[in-house]
Amino acid sequence: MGEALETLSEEGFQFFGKVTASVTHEIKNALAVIRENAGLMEDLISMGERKGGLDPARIQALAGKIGKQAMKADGIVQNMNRFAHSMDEPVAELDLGDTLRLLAALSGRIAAMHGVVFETRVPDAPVRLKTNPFFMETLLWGCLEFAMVAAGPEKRLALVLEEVETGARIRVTGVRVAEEVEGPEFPPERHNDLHRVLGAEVRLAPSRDEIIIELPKVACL
Amino acid sequence: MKTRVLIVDDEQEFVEALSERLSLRDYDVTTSSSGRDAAENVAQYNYDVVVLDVLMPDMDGVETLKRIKGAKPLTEVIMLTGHATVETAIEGMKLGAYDYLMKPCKDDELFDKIDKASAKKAEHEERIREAKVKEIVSSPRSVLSS
Repeated sequence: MGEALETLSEEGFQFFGKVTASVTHEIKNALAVIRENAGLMEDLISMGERKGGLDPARIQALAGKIGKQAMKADGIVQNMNRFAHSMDEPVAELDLGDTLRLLAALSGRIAAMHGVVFETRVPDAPVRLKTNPFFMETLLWGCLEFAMVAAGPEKRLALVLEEVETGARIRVTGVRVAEEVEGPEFPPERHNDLHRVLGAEVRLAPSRDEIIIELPKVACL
Repeated sequence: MKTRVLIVDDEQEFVEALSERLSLRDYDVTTSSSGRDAAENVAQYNYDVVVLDVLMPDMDGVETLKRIKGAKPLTEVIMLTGHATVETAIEGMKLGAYDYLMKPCKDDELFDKIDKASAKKAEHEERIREAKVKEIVSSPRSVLSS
């Protein structure tokens, strides 16, 4: 178990590091927009004082842009906060739809860098699992990372959640994995411990255009 | 003559605000929202300074920098970076970028760097002009052969 724990920790740290770097980059971008718009507002006000002719509608529009970016940054921070709290409990009941939406939101900048858009399709009723929330996020992130690299030409990936008798099934559609092309191995061998601990089964569909993740209602942690 | 600046960033609202602020300070500003577009712009037109975001979809900052320097070696490039990509900015400086700045950047720092980068380019161009004049003076026939 010691070696397995080491692998899980390593995967977890890498995942946490990637998400943190991406999220803080997004916050920096929002702050840069706020900074430039605030600077522009100052420029226009000081120009108006010197030459007259200050346009209140223009100032209002800039204030609106600043407010919008502040709300965007706040949303990013809230997501990061929820993500950080997923480490609070080793075992907890989670709503898998919420987890998928959170991961899709956290992947924002990385997905944009791949030119990929995520869409989540979850049932109206929550799909609840008892599992290790952070390991579950680590597993799902690994699948999303692969999907971003293997996205088909439309670059639209859907995360489709279904409740099944044994627990839950997630299908990541919109990938295109050619058999003849050598690419990253999927699922990677280093995720074996993660799959085992969570009781998960991860595979590519025979059509090689979607990833299928089967999860039990209760993980044997 | 106004300093010609090209701003390259995929964050539209950032580009719009910075572009207007530079225009108010009498810079001649053009914008690009991708590395590919920037590289095409630089190949077609002359800019004194390019302000280039390091992390962009489609073509990253380092690749864009290489294309800019390949097309117009004298054009100076200032790289903009979030803290996660400082290493890339440093790599950019090794590849000939003038300097880098972290986002969000202090106003004076950016305007000051643009002015200094533009002055460096002007000085470099002046030295090239002087060398050409020297060549002509020392060997007037070279004008005929060039």
